[in-house]
Amino acid sequence: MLWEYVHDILPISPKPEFVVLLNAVKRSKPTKAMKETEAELRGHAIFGVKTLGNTVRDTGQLTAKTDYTGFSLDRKTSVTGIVNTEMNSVANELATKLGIK
Amino acid sequence: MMPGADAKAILMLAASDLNNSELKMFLREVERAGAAEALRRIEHLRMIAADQEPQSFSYRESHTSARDAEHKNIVSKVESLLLGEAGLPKTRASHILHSEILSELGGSYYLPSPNKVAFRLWLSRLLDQVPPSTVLHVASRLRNSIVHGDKSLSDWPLNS
Repeated sequence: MLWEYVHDILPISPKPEFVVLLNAVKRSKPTKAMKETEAELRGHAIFGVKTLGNTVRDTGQLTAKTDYTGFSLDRKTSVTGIVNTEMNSVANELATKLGIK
Repeated sequence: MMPGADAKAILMLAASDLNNSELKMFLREVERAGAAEALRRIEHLRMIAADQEPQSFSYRESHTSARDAEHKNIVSKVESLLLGEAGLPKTRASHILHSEILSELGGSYYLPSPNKVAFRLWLSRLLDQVPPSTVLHVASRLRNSIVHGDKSLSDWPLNS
């Protein structure tokens, strides 16, 4: 819908770069339905190449907390290192795709 | 001097690119400064080298492991798509992926050959040249075509 709105309706030029990022992807083994959905998106003629290979995986580290204000990765937990590495991979891929790295 | 040590030192000087006049200057300087001073300078250089060497290796290691960590998830996803879900043998999977990516990119790209290389290593090398989104796009397209002949099984098929 957003794609159709921006490309077919919204009178702006040049059109913004579309990048799809899968967010809150479960860390547990994906179900058949999850695999089908992701494979359909990644294999899609338009959206496939626009979908980043790296994903933001589900973690309490990135969940909003009522008792904490600030950058979530500044809050040190047992998974901070892993989430930091994952976010770096996403950021590096995004920067390369946008041509700023 | 230990047997052979003088020959080693002479051999190293011979292997250097110092010409005769520079060699003469060097030997005169050693004679003037004395053996102790020459040894002190050699020890100093060895200490600098000892400090530098581990740093340069650890840089290469951390650089490689950071890149490998970035590739690891993508490599696992491609394996799951092509070897797991599509049931392709590794050799067939790497050759078909290689050819499909070349056709996707327009054919003028240099891609690492999948011949005689472990599947994971080849994928990692491929990801040095091709964006992960493109590799996964082509792998997913192949998987979809093999698993259900391009017909979407999703409850909400994507349009556009």
